[in-house]
Amino acid sequence: MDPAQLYLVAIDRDPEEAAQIAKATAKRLENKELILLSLTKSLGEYLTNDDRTIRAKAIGFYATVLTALPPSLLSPAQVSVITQFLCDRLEDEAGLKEVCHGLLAVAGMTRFQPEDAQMVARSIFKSCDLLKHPQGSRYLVYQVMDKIMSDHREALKRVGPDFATGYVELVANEKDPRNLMIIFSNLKVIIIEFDIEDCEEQVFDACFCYFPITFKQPPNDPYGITAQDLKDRLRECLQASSKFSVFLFPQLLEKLDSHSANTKKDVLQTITACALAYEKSIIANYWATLWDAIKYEVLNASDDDLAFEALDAIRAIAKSLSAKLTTVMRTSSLDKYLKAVTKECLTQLRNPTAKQARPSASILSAVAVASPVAHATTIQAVLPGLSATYDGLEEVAKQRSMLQALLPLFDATAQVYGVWGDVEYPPSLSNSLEAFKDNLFEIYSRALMGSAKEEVSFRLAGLNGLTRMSRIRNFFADNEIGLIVQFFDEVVLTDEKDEMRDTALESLLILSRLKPSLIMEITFPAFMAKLPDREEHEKSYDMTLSALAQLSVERPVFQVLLTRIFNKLNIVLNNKSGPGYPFALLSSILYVLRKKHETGKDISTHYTRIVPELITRTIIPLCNGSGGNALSHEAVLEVTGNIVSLIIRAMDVEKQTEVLGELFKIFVSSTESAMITSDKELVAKEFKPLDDDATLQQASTVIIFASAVAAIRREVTLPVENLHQFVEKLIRLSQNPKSPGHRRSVLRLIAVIVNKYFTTPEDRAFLTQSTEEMWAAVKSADSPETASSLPALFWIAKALALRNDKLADPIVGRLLEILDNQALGVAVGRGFEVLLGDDPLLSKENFAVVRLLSQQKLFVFCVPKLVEGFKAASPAAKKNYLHALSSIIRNVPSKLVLAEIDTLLPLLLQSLDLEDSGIKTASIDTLSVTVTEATGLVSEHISSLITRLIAASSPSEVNTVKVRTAALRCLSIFPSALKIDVVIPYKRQIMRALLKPLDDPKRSVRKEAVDCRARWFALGEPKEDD
Amino acid sequence: MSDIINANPTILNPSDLPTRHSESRKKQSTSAHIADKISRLPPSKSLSYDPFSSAEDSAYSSGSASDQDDDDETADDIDEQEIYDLISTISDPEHPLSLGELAVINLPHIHVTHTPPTPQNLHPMSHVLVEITPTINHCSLATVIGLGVRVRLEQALPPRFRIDVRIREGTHQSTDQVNKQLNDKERVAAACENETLMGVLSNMLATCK
Repeated sequence: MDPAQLYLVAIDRDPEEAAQIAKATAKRLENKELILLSLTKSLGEYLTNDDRTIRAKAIGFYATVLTALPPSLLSPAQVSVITQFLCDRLEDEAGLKEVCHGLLAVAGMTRFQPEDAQMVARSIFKSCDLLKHPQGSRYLVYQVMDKIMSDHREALKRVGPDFATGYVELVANEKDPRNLMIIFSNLKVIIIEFDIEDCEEQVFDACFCYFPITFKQPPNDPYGITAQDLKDRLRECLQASSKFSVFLFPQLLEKLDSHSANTKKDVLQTITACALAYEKSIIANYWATLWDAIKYEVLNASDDDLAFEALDAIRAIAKSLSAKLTTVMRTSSLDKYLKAVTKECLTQLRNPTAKQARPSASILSAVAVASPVAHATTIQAVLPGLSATYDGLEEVAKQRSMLQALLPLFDATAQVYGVWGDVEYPPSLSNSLEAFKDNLFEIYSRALMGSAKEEVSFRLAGLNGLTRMSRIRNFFADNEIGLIVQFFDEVVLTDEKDEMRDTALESLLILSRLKPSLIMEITFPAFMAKLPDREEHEKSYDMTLSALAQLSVERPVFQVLLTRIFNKLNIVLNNKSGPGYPFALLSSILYVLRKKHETGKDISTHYTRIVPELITRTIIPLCNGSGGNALSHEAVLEVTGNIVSLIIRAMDVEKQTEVLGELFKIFVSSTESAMITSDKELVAKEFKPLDDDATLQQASTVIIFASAVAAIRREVTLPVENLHQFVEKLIRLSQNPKSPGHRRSVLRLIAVIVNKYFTTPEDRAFLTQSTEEMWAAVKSADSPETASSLPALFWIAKALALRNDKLADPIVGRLLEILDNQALGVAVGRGFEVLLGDDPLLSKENFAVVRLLSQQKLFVFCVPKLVEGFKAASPAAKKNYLHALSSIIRNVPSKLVLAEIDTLLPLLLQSLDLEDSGIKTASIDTLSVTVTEATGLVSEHISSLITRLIAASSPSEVNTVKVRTAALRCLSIFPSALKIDVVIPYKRQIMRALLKPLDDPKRSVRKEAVDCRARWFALGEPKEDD
Repeated sequence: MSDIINANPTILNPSDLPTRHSESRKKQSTSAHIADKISRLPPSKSLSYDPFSSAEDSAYSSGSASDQDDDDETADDIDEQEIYDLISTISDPEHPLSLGELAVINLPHIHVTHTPPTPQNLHPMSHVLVEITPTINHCSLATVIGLGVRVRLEQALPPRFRIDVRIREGTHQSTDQVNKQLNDKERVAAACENETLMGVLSNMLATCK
């Protein structure tokens, strides 16, 4: 049997086998066991068969063989014969796909000649009526065209104008996006390289008929072609020849009147692309018509997006007309264009408060950035006129609008001429704005410094203008910017309006990057001088410190800040300050350190300057009999602790080991430490913060110690001989605390150590035993005071629970059991806040072991027991369960709560009847989440929920502002969250009930009531469709 | 586009619109916020807060003591600024701008009068008068705007308020006519039955903050 027959038999049954047959045939041809002519001849009978599928399959066989041949096997003559043969087959509609496969194979052969390519093109144009074929076949035809166009372009060009017309006719009516992608890229080649002089309009129409592209990418589109891809390719065709302008621009402008924002956007983007691509002489012919149409889109824009595109187009025209111009020329087309533009804008700006003034200003800045020449022309055309108008304006509102209108022009200038520190060369044309420099400086300075304090937005315009002008490279001299910096300093330090101070500070931040030396020389001393030497009644230092902190993130500046702040701290403490001012001074250091850390800088290098200094300064006054100072106030100790902790956290293991050793010398073993910078012996002798009889002030410094130890990596060993004894000592301290703050830091320290270091079986045995002992003591206690181990139990349970340790379960379980204990229940209920609340020291950042699902586990462990216990509890104890529940719920993600909401909702509803604002707020907050997330369940309880929320919205001792606000907010979610038929029956009731909160004594509550009522009012009302 | 009555009205800068100063401080100022963080000592209540040490009192709620100023229960009266805040954010039916920005609603043109309670009358009526300034004096939408203001106030004020919405004297060519329409209960009620009109109104009121 001949291979063709074998192939035809196999193809339907097993395509794999058929392919093998074709491959074998190719091999035989290659080995000269078979000649090409006889193979071609053997197809003859199949190709005349009446069954079109057989004809197609036969060609398919032939194509597959050709594809399998080595590309250089066949001679030029053979290739030509095959090409001719295949081209002839194009006349048979059946098998178009297969023929194309064959053509692709021959076209890929080494000896495929230019004449062959011409033949293929002509035959395809002559024989193919693509409308009759499915998109897959058409795709192959286009691929053949694409192949020969990329390999034999010169030969195809020699075909003459017929090629372009042939191609255009071939692809007419194509709609498939994948095919269009090929067609557009081929058309672009034809437009640019081929002779289309006689058929420009025809080719143009072939492209433009697809404009605007309205294709929407279907979901799961296998080809991944987006509307944007098509738009981009089509645009490349349209912009490929300036000669299209005759047809393109009129038609585009017609489509600009479309109502579809999408079409408008496409039109404007195409105008922009073409303006940039076409020759200048072409744009010179069209700018007037284009400008007339496009300006409308900016001046009357209802959509910022479109206005933006229109500005782009306006700019592109100016850019195109700027080509080859190096100086302002009165006869140039650019000059004429800009004359029209500036004239229109100037007219609009005469009345600067009118709606179209602002868009006009945007237009001016758009053309000004097009080129240095365009910038010069625009500035020279508008500034004299605008200055004159400004001088004639009498109302401040108009002056203000005018100053604001100029701001974009300054940005445009900065874009053309660069900002300080830019490295590219500036344009050779000198900056035209310089001629107006002094005048502008004066106008804007006067607006900022010389107008009434209430004119905030006028002064802001002055401030913003000065800032923007100061940015422009080589515009203001350093002494002028220095003066501006002084203005800004004065505003930051003395202005009464927050907005002014904020903006001035932001401007200083901008200038600190462009002109750092000016800020160091002028702003820093001025601000430091402003800091008082003693605590004053009204806080005169807060804004100054805030400004200094924000300006000090760069390293050299921060070093200066540290020196100055420490000096100031000395003076302030000597003046017997209260804690407020030292707190603020240290907080500003903490702020900068945090900012630095957030921006990825290594802050551990600041250790030497800061940590020993602060610790020494805090401790010495507690040892020398002076009775301490403001540094040992709890709040200040917290800040110091935070600073120390932040710096230590950033250190590596080695450095941490060293620092930790010194800390233990100071706080635990009372030996001389290198960390203390003066009076080491005194400290070693007198400082014993962990002693049972330590003074309150010495004991409170544990706050610093706990923060520091909490920041230590787990790899670092704690430098104590017996860790168990150490923890026992801490537990004892926690049972007899000097103050609540003292106890809290001791407990935190215990929790940190347990969480990070208690991992061996011995450690666990120790924990089991000591918690047993504590439990025994708690159980027999008859009041919260005597149950002094209760806090430690909670904190140890927390430390264990965080790392998902099973040892936590029995402790928590027992605590849950005594919720109905008459003496202890209340305290236990509150304790649950500790258990799940986030703790700043026990955190991942501090290298604590925090397992992923630890909260969830604890939640799942507690909730069923709480619900059970609640049901059985005496009425008096029920409250304790709700306390515990509320503490848990407010500390876990709402997702967890929602999973259990079926059982929890009744409890939540009951907790709304409690006389406790904290619980009430927490419950309402949870309910608010529930309303959107568990709509079904809420719908069932809607009646009782609404009644309770309405009750909670009326003022009483329990219903504080917070409760009322939460209740009204929750109520306002209902209309949008629940199905309309569920809520609408309550509309009347709620509209009536809400009349009362509308008259709430507090304004903020009334606001919530108004919003809530508006939402309910809108429910079921008709809405205008737009 | 041809049916726009005033295509190029004067607009005010949003930052120039009257606001209640003490409230705006919290929202806007970032550096005031930082300054606050830097210099505000935590209240002693939260420093010593410890769930285990406090007695029966309401220590529970001090868990969130940081914003305790909210708990201050002194009453604030409904004043002109509050009325302004209620209605200045209504959108103009013609421009994507608010009535405040277009200076249709102005703070000095709002008057609130509270009558002090007497033993005979514990809950006396209060009165609010809002005068509207149309952007141009032949604005045919003045009635719609007035109606919008009226509907908003009726929704948002407690029933003890008597609401009066008028066109400001000398700012419209048919002031009397419009005023009559706006303050005639039956006409307002009839207007509120008109679905198209209510559609327009609900769009205007949708931007209320």
